[in-house]
Amino acid sequence: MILKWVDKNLKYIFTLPTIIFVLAMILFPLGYTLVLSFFEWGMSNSVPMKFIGLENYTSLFTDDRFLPAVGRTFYFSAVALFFEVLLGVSIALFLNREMAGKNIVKTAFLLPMVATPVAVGLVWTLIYEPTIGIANVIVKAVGLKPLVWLGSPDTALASLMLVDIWQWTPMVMLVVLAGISSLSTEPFESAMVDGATKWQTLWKVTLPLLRPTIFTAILLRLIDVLKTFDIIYATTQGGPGFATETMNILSFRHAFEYFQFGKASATLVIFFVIVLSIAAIFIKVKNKVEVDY
Amino acid sequence: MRSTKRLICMLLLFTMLVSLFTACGSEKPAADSTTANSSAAANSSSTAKPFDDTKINFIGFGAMWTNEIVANLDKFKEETGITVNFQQLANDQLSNKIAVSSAAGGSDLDVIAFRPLQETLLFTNNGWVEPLDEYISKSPDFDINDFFESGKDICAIDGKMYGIPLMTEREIVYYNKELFAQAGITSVPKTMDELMEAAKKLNNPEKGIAGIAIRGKGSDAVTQFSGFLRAFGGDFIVDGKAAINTPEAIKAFQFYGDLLKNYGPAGVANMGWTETQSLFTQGKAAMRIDADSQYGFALDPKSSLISDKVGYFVLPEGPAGAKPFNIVAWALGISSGSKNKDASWEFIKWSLGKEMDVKTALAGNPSTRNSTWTNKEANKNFPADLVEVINQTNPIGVGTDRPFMINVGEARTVIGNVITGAILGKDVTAMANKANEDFQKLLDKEAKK
Repeated sequence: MILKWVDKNLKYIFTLPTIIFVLAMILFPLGYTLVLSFFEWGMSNSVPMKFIGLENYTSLFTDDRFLPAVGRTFYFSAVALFFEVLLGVSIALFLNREMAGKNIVKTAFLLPMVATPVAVGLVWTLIYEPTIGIANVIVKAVGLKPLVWLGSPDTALASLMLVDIWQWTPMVMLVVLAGISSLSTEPFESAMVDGATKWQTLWKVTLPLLRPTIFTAILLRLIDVLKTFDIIYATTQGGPGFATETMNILSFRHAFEYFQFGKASATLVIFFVIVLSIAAIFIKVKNKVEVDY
Repeated sequence: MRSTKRLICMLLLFTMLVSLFTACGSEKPAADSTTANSSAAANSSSTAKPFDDTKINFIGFGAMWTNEIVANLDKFKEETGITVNFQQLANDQLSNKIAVSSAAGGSDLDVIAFRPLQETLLFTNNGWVEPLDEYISKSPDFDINDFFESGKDICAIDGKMYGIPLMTEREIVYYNKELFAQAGITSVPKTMDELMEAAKKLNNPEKGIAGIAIRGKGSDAVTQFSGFLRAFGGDFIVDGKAAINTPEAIKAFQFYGDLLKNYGPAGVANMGWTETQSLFTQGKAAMRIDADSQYGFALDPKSSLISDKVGYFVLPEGPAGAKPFNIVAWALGISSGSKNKDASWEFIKWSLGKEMDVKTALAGNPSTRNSTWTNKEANKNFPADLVEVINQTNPIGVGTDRPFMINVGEARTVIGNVITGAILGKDVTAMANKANEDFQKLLDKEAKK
């Protein structure tokens, strides 16, 4: 009897753990954040949450730090993503050939990606240290003026972009490299037969065929780079001043330094909507641009 | 065939479910048994070890005090039967951890270390810490009257004690004797102008040596800045109103900014105490202003290249005199969600009791007990010249180093932003005016509550 029931509902039973997991780990926090964003709450056990409607949202737009943080988040993401894709694709194309030590080079490129972000942040803090760090030794060796890197609001954000590019270019490279190896050889053979130069093959055959792969790599990176938190927190915590304060950092500080959970949640809800719409638009564009060859 | 498949599926499902439930279930009986044990133990207090098998969680910060306590935990277990599970975190992470755990009930915390000036108001306001008066009155040997009056005051709200002071801290100037001799400076600066003058003489960017290193990272810098603000005649709050744009305060911001902009290390705007400390101990900064409780790091030959060249002097005086802070930096309290409050008090009583206090003082902890400070034996490890500076600082010291309020975190960000701006050469008056407005708003918000 029970066996029969189980047999009939097997598909539900087997998906149940996943459904519970998704509910508990994704939907609940999301929903809870949304609810919190309408309340004022300082994590207190004695002072209850207070419903204040949309006040958290309206107060954000009069906050001097919110809009610059939004701008900074996108500026950081756009620049880092651009260079990661450019360099990642170039390196992948470069590595796609028979050469001595290819595997060693590939492995070396992957090392930054497997390192823990907080450790990466601490190491780069030392590298960027203006008095004793190695970055200024290199800068001076090539005859330029030493910089203060993370210590000045003019260079801090760019210095962090450099860290992100260093760490995540390999991921783009890896995805593109996998894409290249899955391409069929026929288009290349016919290009060769038609007498195409190497340059022509690259622009007219390889890159168009790789387009879906590159788009996927961009989408994955885009979502991640928008969320960047660890390296910023481990190096500057948003400083100097507010020069590297992105939406995530701002929200973290609202929550855990100022104990304004409502405001922090409102920031995250806005952030979530932005990221979701960008991803949706991007997928739409991707589907439109993609053509089968 | 089909039935075997089904059987395998069923078995798989069964094992998955069983493991799921056992995983959930195993926690509960264990937790119950510990509480049962501790209450049973509390009842039979006649036995030698009333807290046998009790485990408490203690989260704290890194300091010489902590090292000495951790080294003696085995002895504590021998005496009481309590196992202390210690977790060490950095200041801000510690505060975050307490907040998150407490908001979730706080049952995974027992003894917590906190910064009274930063957190007493917040923690009591949120009901995260337990009042200790009942425990104190039950422990006459602990001798609460032995603690500094100012230290007890800052841990008390509405006459109830929420923490026991653990460590005092004074703002002093550390200097590198060798670099002073090289620059031909024979006497230490006594006034702010002389401090600026000395920093100028000592500053040597070509060699990578800064004249002076003090915190420049926004909110971190607020506490060190307090000594400058008051030396110029200002304060954070005057008559209950925000006062960080008064002419005195602006002068102080300007002075602090100029000092670090012109003679501070490169990148000082992103530095906290650890960074200025490494520069000083590596011989890359001739002077450093911070808390005296960190002296051990500068004197440790393992981490310091200048361990034999360290000197100290009192924070110089400005137009309104010398106003270094003299505060209780840390205290121990009990989480209100704790299930082992008696055992937790046992730990506090032991770790801050007279006997251990002398031991931690010998390890380098600036105590909060009168009896320890008057005990010559307990202070023999402090460098004599440091004790002299401490004794000069004690009578002039100010009891707070930051605005005393619930939302001190945000206030520090607001004030710290002006400090960083001053270091970066921005328009201090405009920034201070704007910051004062924001600071006043924070004060108004708290007044409403």
